[in-house]
Amino acid sequence: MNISEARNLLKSKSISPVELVEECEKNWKNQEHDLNAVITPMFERAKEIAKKTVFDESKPLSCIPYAVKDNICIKGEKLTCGSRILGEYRSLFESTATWRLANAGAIAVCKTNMDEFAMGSSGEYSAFGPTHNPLDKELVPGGSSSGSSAAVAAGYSIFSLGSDTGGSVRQPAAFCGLSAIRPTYGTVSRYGLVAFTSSIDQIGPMAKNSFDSLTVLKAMRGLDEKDSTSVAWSPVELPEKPVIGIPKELLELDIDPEIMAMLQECKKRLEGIGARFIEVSIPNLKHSVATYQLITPSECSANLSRFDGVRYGLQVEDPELGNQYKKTRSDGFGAEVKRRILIGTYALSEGFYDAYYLQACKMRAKIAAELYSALSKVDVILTPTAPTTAFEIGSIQDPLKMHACDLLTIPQGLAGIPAVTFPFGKDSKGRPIGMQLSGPAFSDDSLAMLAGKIEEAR
Amino acid sequence: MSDLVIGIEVHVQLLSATKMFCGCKNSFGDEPNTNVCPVCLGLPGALPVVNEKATQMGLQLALALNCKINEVAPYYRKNYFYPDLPKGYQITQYATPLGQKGFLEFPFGKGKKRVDITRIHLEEDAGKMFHSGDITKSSSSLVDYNRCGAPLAEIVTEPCIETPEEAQAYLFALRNLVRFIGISTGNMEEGALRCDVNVSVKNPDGSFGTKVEVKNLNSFRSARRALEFEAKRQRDLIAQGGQVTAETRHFIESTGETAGMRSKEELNDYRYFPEPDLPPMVTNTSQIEKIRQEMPKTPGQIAEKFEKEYGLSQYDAGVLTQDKETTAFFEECVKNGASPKKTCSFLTVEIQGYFAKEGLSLGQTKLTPKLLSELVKLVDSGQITNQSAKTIIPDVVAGSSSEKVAKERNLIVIEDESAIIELVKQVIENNPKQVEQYKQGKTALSGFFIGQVLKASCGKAQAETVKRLVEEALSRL
Repeated sequence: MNISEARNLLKSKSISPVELVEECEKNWKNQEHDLNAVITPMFERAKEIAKKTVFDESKPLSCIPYAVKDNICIKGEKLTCGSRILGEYRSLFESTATWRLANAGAIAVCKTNMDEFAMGSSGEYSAFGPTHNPLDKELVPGGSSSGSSAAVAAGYSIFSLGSDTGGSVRQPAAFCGLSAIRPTYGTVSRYGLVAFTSSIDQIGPMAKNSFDSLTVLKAMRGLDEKDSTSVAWSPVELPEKPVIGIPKELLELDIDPEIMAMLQECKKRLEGIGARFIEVSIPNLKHSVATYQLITPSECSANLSRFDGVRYGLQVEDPELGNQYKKTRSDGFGAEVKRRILIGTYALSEGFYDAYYLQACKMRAKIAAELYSALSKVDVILTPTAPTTAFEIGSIQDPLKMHACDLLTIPQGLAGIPAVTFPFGKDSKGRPIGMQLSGPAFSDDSLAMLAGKIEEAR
Repeated sequence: MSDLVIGIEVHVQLLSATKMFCGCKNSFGDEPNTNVCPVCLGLPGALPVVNEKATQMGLQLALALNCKINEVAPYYRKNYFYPDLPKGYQITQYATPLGQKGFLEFPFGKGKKRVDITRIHLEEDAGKMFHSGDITKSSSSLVDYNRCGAPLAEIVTEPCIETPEEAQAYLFALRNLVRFIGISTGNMEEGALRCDVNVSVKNPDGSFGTKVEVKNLNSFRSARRALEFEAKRQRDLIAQGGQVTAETRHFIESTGETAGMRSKEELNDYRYFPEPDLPPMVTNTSQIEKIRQEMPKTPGQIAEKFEKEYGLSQYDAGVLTQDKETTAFFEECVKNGASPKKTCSFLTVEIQGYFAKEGLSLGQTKLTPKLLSELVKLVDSGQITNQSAKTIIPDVVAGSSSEKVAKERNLIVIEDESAIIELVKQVIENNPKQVEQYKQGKTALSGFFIGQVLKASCGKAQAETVKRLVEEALSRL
C-alpha cells in the first residue's frame, strides 16, 4: 500500500486510522521473527494516537504510519543507533523531521534496526543483529538504513525515514525495490539526527514510489533555526525533456554487468519520454570511496566522543577514569565503528592531518567541482544506485569490499547535491535493481518527478 | 633589560544572557545542573547555534584591544576526553581567530606600558568538576554543567612582558578594560577571568630560552608570585648548568611554588578540524563600524579625554580610570559643576588616603558624587579653604552635607579683610623676636607669619589673602 492508496481508503472510511496501524502491526508480528527490522516497536503508542485522530485531507500524511531509523530522536523513546553504547537512553527531545511529519499527520509506528551509527552498507553491523531482506530472507536489505527499507518492503509502515551519508537510504531502497531521496544538503534539518558525518548527513525518505518519497520530503524539509547548516528551500526546475549524462568513468568501475545492461534499458526508457543523452566525465569518481573513508571517519571520531559513559548510556565502571573510558567504549562500540574512529583519529593527528584529512578535503572539493561542472552541461546524471544487487548475509567479510558498495552513492553526499533512487527491473536472480538520478542542488522535486514518471511508464 | 620573557593567555567569560551555542541562562552560582539543555549537555542529535550577542561582545573586545578583525573566522573542534566536556570536543576558533595583531596600552609606574596581543578568539567553556578531597585520591567526582557552553574569549599576548610586575599590571588593565566595555564581570574568584602564563629566561645571546607554562593561577597576585618563583627557579637551574624542560606546571597557592604535572597530560594532540555543524563567523566592515561606534569607551580613551578636556596629568587620568566606579564617580562630580582638577585631587588623594587609612572603599560608604561635588564647589568658590575641606572629609564620607558641617564648625572663609588685618596685627605683636629677625633681613620668615595667621584663623582665611596682607604689613615695619 502506498500513500495515495492509504489516503483513498482513509478518505472513503474503508479503513480507520487505528485499523491502518493495526494492519502494519500485523505485518510486523508476522514477519519480524525473520526480518529483525525493528529495535523499538511503537505500535501501542501509534494506536493511541490513531484513536484520537480523524483523517484530515488537508494534511499530506494524515494518519499515515511510518518507520523511523533509530538514529533519529523521538521524544521519550529509546534511541540506540544500533549500538550497545546508548544502553537504555531515551531521547529528551524530538527531531525537527519527525516533529514536522507529526504536524503533517504521520504516525510513527516503530524505530528501525540499522548499521551501528549508520556505518555500514548491509545492515549486518548492528548490535541488535542483522536485518533480513523481506524479498529474500537470505539476503541483506542494504544499509545502513536496513530496518527502514525492510519495514516498508514488509508493510510494517507505508514509508520510512532513513539517514543518508554515503548512500544509506538509496542503497537499501535499491536492494528492497523501493524509492528513496537523498535531499539537497541542508534542506532537511539534522536537529535530532545523531551525527555520523555532520557535513554530509541528511535525513531522507524511503517509500514504495518516488511520488510518495517526494510527499514525505516536502512535509519535513525547510529552514530550521536549530540547525545552523539548514537552508531555506528554493526550487530548481529542470526542463520537461532533460538532457541527461552518464559518466563515462562508470566503465572503469567494478559494476555488475547485469546492472550496466539495465542502465542501457533505463536510458532507452528515458529517451522514450523525451530525454536526450550526452556523455559526461567525472574523472575522480574512482577516488570517491577513499575520500569518503577519510572524511567520514574523521568527523565521526569527534561526533562519537560524547559516548563516554559519563552521563548516559553504557558505563563500564573502573576506579580510573581513563580505564573507564576505554572499557566503556571497547564494550559499547562494534568493530566497524571502532575501525572508523581509529582511522579518523589517525587522519586528524598531528603530522598526518595534511597527508590524510586535508588531502581528502581537497579531493572532496575536486569531485564536487567535477559534478557541478558535469551538471552545468546536463540537467541530470544517470547511474545505477549500487554496483551490485542485494547480496547474501555474511558474504562480504572484507571491510574494503563493503565500503565499495557505496561507490555510486558517495559523490552526491560529498557535493551536497540531491539524488533519487528508484526501482528499475531485476537481475537474473530476481533481485531488484535501483537506478539513480542526481541533479544540481534544489532539483530534488524535479528528480523525484522524473523518477516517478519512469516508474509510471513501467 | 630584563632576562625574562613572559606571555599571558587569558580566558574571559562573556556576560551574554545566554550561552555560546544554546539558549541556556549564562549565570554564575545557580543550583548545579539547572542551566542545561540537550545542546550544552551534548546529548545525541543536538546541534549548536551561535549566540550573536556573544560574538558581538567578542568583537567589542577585539576592537578595544586594537586588533585587526578577520572577516571570516571559522569554528573548529578541539578534541579531548574529560567528564566536564560533554561532547568530547570543545568548539573554538583556531587557525583564523576573530581578531589578531592588537595591543593594550595601560598606565605602568610613572608612564605607560604597551603589551602586544597576538590573537583573540571565541570558544565555549567546559563544566566544573568537584572532587571530594584530594584529586589524586578522590574516588568520585561531581560535575556541574551550568558553566558548560558559557561563552569565552581567549586573549593571547606576544612574549613581550618582561617582569612579574608588568604581568600583574597587564592583567589588571585587561580586567579593567572588560569591565569598562561591559562584556564581563572580570571577577577572578568566580572564574570569569582566568589566566595561564608562559615564562622563559633568555639565553646569554638574547635568544629565547625554553618556555614553561604555569596554570592554576587564581588571582593577579598568584600570577605575579608564580612568575617570581619561576624566574628564580629557571635562573638557578641555568646557573647550576641545568636545562629548563618545556612543560606545564601548576602553581601551588599555599607554598607559592610551581610543580610539574605528570608528563602524560602533556601529550595532548587536540586534532583540531573545522566544525562542520557551524558556518564560519563572518563580520563585515559596516558591522565593525557599528560596533565601534556603539561601544562604551575604554579606560584608555577616557583617560585621554581627561587629559585633553580637563587638563589632567597622564598620571592622574590613569589613576581616575583604574576602576569603573572611580571614573563614573569622578565624571558625575564634574557634571555637577565641581572643577575637574580639584575633584581629582580630593578623590584620588584625600578620599583615597582616608579610605586606605580606614579600610574603606568607594561604594561602601555614604559618600555620593553629589556630596563630594558640594565640597569641591565650596573650595572652588572660595567659601572654605582647602585646609578646612580636608578636615570635614570624614563627615562627608559619613554622608553629611559639607556646607552644613562648614557652617556648624564655623569654617566659612573670613571674607572681611579687616578681620584678617586684625589677626596679622596680633601675630606681629605676639612674636617680637621674629619681627626683630625679619627686620635684620631674614625675610624668609614671612612664611612663618603667614602660617601663624592661617593658624589663628582656624583655616578660615584664604592663604592668598593672608599672604598678601602679611607681606603688606611686614613691608610697613
